[in-house]
Amino acid sequence: MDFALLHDAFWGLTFDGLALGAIYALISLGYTLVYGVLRLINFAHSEVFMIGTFSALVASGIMGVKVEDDPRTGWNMIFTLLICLVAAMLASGITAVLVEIVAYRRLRQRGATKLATLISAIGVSISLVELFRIITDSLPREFPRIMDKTFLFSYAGADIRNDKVIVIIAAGLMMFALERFISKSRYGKGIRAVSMDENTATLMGVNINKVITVTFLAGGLMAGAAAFFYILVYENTSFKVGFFLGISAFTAAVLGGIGNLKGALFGGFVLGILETYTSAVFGTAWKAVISFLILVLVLLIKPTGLFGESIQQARV
Amino acid sequence: MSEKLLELKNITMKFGGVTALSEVNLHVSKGEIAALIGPNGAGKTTVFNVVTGVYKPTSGEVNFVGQSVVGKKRYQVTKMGIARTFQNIRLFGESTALENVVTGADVHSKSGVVGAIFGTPRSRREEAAALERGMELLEFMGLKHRAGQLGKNLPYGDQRRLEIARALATNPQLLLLDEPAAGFNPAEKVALAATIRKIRDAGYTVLLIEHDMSLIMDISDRVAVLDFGQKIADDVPKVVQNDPRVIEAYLGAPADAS
Ligand SMILES: Nc1ncnc2c1ncn2[C@@H]1O[C@H](COP(=O)(O)OP(=O)(O)OP(=O)(O)O)[C@@H](O)[C@H]1O
Ligand SMILES: [Mg+2]
Repeated sequence: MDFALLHDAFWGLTFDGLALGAIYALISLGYTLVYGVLRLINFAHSEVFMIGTFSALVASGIMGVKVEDDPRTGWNMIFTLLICLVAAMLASGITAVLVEIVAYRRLRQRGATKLATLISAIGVSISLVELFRIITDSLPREFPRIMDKTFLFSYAGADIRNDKVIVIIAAGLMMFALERFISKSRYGKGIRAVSMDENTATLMGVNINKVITVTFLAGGLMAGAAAFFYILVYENTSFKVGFFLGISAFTAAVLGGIGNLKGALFGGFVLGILETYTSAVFGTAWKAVISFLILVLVLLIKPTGLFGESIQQARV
Repeated sequence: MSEKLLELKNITMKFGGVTALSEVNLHVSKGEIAALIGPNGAGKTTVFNVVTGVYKPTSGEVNFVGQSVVGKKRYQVTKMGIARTFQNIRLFGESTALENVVTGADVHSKSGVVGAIFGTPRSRREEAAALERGMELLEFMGLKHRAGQLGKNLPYGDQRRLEIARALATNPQLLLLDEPAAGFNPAEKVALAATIRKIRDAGYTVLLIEHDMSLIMDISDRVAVLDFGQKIADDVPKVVQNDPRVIEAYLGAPADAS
């Protein structure tokens, strides 16, 4: 136990926690959006994230980046980073939509129970994990360094690293874009209408399958962005990367009140920071424990989360 | 001879052992205000649910401008031109009045998912047009000043009017109103009658469920009466009003009491 570290490096840890929290927040939006329209925990969402990390990896390979290379600079670097980001977002977005069509839509249209759909979700998750275990030979993969990581400045003893700044800012922009989309666009209005009252929404001419597809797509795109940010900062991935990230992001969603976008963001950041403090004090091995602990506590004490369930308001 | 907009042929609707509708024939002609009346549980709301695709009838046909409605998805029925309000208000409570209306307008938009995500010019144009149309409809229903308020915070009467505005936003040919005057005081009922006439004069056709006889007699061109799932009368208000079977249904006493 090392409380001195927490004290000495408080701002540095908080900053690291914010970067991790931004990634959790982006993933947890997907859980919360889907829960809002379908009242279903999409357990395959963690694998949507996992596929995003591998896509970014493949894209970097196609762009000719090698692990032993020097980091890129200037426009070349920006272009390469953007390609990897777009690849991750597209792959995750498409995966999310395919999961909905293959694993959920048919069940829904036959009026299957929630439990059947949940089992289907877990089935998809296991299949994707096992598929990637086979593809990757159970080995973790290293992500080449595309950008040089430097300390931009120091604040109160905290060294602010450029890649984490980029992640926090870019994640903030993504969340802002999603908020605009949900509150302003017609699909956003459809998503909110279906979350509030599915039956009435369909009678007002809302095409429910389209709305659900868009919901999965939006959640997948956010998870894909998170995947790219994750791999940019931590520089590795494996077939089981979705498991712990998924648990934390799911906990973040539950902590904020599943179905509530604002809550998911809040929960994501809180969890990211808490996990970082925990690993500093108790060691990295304890990092996952805190999210399980919070998950259990929230479910015991306030199952509706801090903000309650209200995707309808959707004011991020 | 006016053209039939909506036609129900031999509609039977059973829920388990309950026969909510039994061999009902009914039509609505273009441009009229038709009324559907009957005692509680007669099957009136069930007619709306069958017409809008909420329930698939046990047997019979529903045709709208010559096309079958049965088996269509709900949003497709809305797209064909049928819109409705609900007996117990079902607004999107956490959305503003304007957003409620615009949700209804979405059914006819042409731009796709990608357009909406990236805000292509076409999708922006459509969204701007929907907002403008939404404001027009709010104004038409006397709700312009409520545009930015959440549905759940509106006074009761405004909620009922907002439901009508939301239904009109789908640009229907036929508007189905399920007890729009429920809970209204006499003055509000008179105002509602004027609004319904105004809606008809704007080119919509109206089918109205209502319990208030004076309202019905005042504004409807034709009245159909349901009792225990069967149609027992269908004529101009004056004739229906004096039909002994209708009086019996409402008073619950046999006409030829002996
Ligand atoms: N989903 C359903 N399941 C079972 N029974 C139903 C269902 N919907 C309606 N019914 C039954 O069908 C009958 C007609 O109901 P309906 O709601 O159409 O009556 P109504 O004429 O609208 O009455 P009210 O004036 O009270 O609104 C009732 O006996 C009702 O209980
Ligand atoms: Mg009714």
